[in-house]
Amino acid sequence: MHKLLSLTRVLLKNGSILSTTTTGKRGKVALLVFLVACVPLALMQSLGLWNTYGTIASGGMVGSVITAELTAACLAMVLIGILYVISTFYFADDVVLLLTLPLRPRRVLAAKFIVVLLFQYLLDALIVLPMLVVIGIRNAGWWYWLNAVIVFVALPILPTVVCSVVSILLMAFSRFFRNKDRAKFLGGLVAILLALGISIPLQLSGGGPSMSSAMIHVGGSLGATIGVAFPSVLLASRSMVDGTGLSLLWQAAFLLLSALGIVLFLVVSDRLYLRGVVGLTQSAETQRDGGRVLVGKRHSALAALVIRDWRILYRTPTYSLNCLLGAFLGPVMITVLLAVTMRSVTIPDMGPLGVSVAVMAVVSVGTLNVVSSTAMSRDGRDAVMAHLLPVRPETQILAKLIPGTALSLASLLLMVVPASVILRPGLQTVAVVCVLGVVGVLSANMIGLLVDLAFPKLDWQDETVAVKQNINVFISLLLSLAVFGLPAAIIMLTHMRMAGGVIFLGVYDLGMLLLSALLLFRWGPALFFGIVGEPGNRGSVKARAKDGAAGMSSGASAGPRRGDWAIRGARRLVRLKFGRDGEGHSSRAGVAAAVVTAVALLACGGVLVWEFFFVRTTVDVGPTQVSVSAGIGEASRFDLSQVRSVYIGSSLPATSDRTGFESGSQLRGTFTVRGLGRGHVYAQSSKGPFLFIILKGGGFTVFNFEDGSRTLGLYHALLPYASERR
Amino acid sequence: MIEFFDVCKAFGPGKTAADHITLTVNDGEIFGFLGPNGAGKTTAINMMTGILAPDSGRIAVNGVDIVRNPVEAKRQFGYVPDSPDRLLRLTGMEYLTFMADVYDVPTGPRSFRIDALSREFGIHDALGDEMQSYSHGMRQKAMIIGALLHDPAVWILDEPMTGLDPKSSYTLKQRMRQHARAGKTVFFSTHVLEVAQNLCDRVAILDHGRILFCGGLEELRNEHKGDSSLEKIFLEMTDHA
Repeated sequence: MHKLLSLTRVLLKNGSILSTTTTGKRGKVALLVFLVACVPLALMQSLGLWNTYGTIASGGMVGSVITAELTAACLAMVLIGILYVISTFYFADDVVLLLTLPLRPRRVLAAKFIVVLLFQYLLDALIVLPMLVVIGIRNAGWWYWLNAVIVFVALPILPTVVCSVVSILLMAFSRFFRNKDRAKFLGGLVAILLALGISIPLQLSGGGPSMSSAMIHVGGSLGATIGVAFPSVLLASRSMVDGTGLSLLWQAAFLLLSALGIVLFLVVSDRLYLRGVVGLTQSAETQRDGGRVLVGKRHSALAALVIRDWRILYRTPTYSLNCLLGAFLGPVMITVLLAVTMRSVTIPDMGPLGVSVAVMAVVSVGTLNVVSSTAMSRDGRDAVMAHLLPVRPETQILAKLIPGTALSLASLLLMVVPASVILRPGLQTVAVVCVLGVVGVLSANMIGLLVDLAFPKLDWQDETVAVKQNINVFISLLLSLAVFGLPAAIIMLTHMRMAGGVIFLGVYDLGMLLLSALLLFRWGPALFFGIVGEPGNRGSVKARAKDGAAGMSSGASAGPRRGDWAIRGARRLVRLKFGRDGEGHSSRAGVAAAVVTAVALLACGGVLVWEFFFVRTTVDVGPTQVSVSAGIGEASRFDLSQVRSVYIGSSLPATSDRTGFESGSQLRGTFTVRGLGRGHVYAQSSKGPFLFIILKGGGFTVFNFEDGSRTLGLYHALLPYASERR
Repeated sequence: MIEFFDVCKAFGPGKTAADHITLTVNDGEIFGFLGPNGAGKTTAINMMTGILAPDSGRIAVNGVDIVRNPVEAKRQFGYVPDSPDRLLRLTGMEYLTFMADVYDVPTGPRSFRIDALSREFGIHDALGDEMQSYSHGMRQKAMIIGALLHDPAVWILDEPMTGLDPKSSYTLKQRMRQHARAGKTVFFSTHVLEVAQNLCDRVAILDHGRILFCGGLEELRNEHKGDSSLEKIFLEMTDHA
């Protein structure tokens, strides 16, 4: 027992989140954050059960609730615990050392079992504790509390035994799991799928019920089935519900079963642990069977760099879980969200605002893969290799851009197709969103890469730091949202019509694409050269940019320059704007960037100005129909035979639900007019006369020209065609 | 040929890593770069290979300025870093294929060289495995092969013998001699003075960023009459620097 306790203490100190070493301080903080984050969930569950307890108790369903919660806890412990067990028992750093010590396998694994059990108590507390407390407070005697404490303490034992025995058997008899990366990947995948598997059905069932209510529904129907796998759940549940002396019997049976489980675990450990763990440290033998390994096909430098990055991406579990999986999970979750919230809603024709918001959504989801915004960070200490290769930095930057962009385009496709089926917008709208989405995704990836070039996170021991604890991801997302949210805001404020809005979006997005590309390939190489692989030598952005610029320019300056970053940034911006680098020579790239930016801004401004000031309504009364033309896409027509009545009014009733242009007194497009319904309005002033043309089908058109005589002239021209006189 | 012209590099006040370094490594010689820890050897190598830019001065490899024309300069040399822990997620073959691609090695020669070098260094059978599973020595060998694939005129090796078994060390030394005899350049840094003594035509001893000595071993011995071993001379020079 002494050796067991000593070993357990060492294992806990050495690497679990309950460690008290220096690195364990961070583990303690992480643990604290985790616990605080769980409080809302626990509170929600408690409140839900508290509010529904009366109904549950009157329906005699307390036992079902307890069974359901205990079942859920056991399931979670098994699903999450099994890969944690494999990792702790077989792939932890201490395994190599422990194998060399004169310890029986069961003693080693008993200590590791305790470590895993302590982790399981976190899940136990999260799922079971709120339920136990609420039921105890609402309706419990001393026997309940006694049983509840025993159940809480002993419940994780059997699921952990199940995880452990299954793990030992898998590792002893199956080669598939004898790979650390594969185990890590599967562990992460199971956790993600579990989270989705719980949240999606909850959403689909009508959303928002507390876990207790949902678990009642689940536990009631599954309890009997699960009970076969976890007989301890039924025993524990009965011991808490049965208020007679029988509860002691159930409790004793529950504890006996747990004890038998431990014995089984110890026996299996002694017999099979070494079989699974010995030889794990050797390299894989699959290729070393004497077969020839063929030289790979020849590629260009660009292709070679892309292939290299891609291989590292999918072979590193952390990257494949956070980057590759993110590219597909994002669209899946959006699709589920749309299916749930929009399933009985008919979407009207999307105006330019809708298109703009759709593009923004597509771009945001498309960049969830975070590949571009972590492209440099993921290199870590390998970043120095970039300097050694005889490949231009522009080529290397392009190679960094391609994987993320390709994944983003795949996400776009995965999102647009199901969204089109669910929302049923027009084909033209889908095409526009696709095209603008592609342009947007390209820009967003360039922005992300530029941010990561400026602030790469290269000093890490664990790949998680490069992707999950990397603020560049957040910065890139914010920048993308700002860049692609701006046109939506402009469209909303100016009430652009569809065609004008689409042209504006197209010009804006193309302008942003060109600007992103110019910035990336103008600043990127200097930042790229400034990245130094060795920690301690790597300076701030300003020092790196200086190093990079010195490395690229003709002649190096004497000594590192110190200066305010804002001033240097402004100088660089000025140089970019006016096309001069540090040595005073003109830079065609900088001039081109300035010109393109100016053209893009002018084009956007031009469209706005044209819409505001130069569009006029023209009416053509033909032999059989009236044609109206105004701004882009604002045309309309109606048959003269459809005119029911024509009359003059001195004012226009209030309008709403604009699908058109409105600025001051100018209205062009389709509006809802109070008292009339929805129809076309072409008004150039707020002063009468207003010509109202009511059509037999229920629609209408209203005309008002600055020159009132023109309005009256049209009235007289159309009056003969009216079938009714007012 | 490698040329340093009055190269300076500092990482801050009082942190001079290269102090007016001027030296030439000629074709046809094996040049040893010696110095205690923190002397500035790695910084000099980093500047030579394009990882760092010098604050002032000029470095040329086969006449190509590493700062003005980095891509062309990098084609002139093959570099073996002191740490072989690079791109560990790739298999040995994938790494070598990658290096052959970026250095534009034609298909025929690349197959031949990969096969020959991997057999010579004894890692041919492991080429299909991820380098993550290699020992330190195996990774070092993979780095060496990768650096030699494009048959560069200049070899720049940063402590290349670290982790190599005796056979592979011998193989590498033989290749270095062959390379120099063919009129090409070998530049390597080492802490093992016996290797430098047996292998180098000329050496440079660096300390605190300054070249304390640059020349042949006989010349060094003559300057320090009474001291017979390189080790003693080295210790005396660096103690008094």
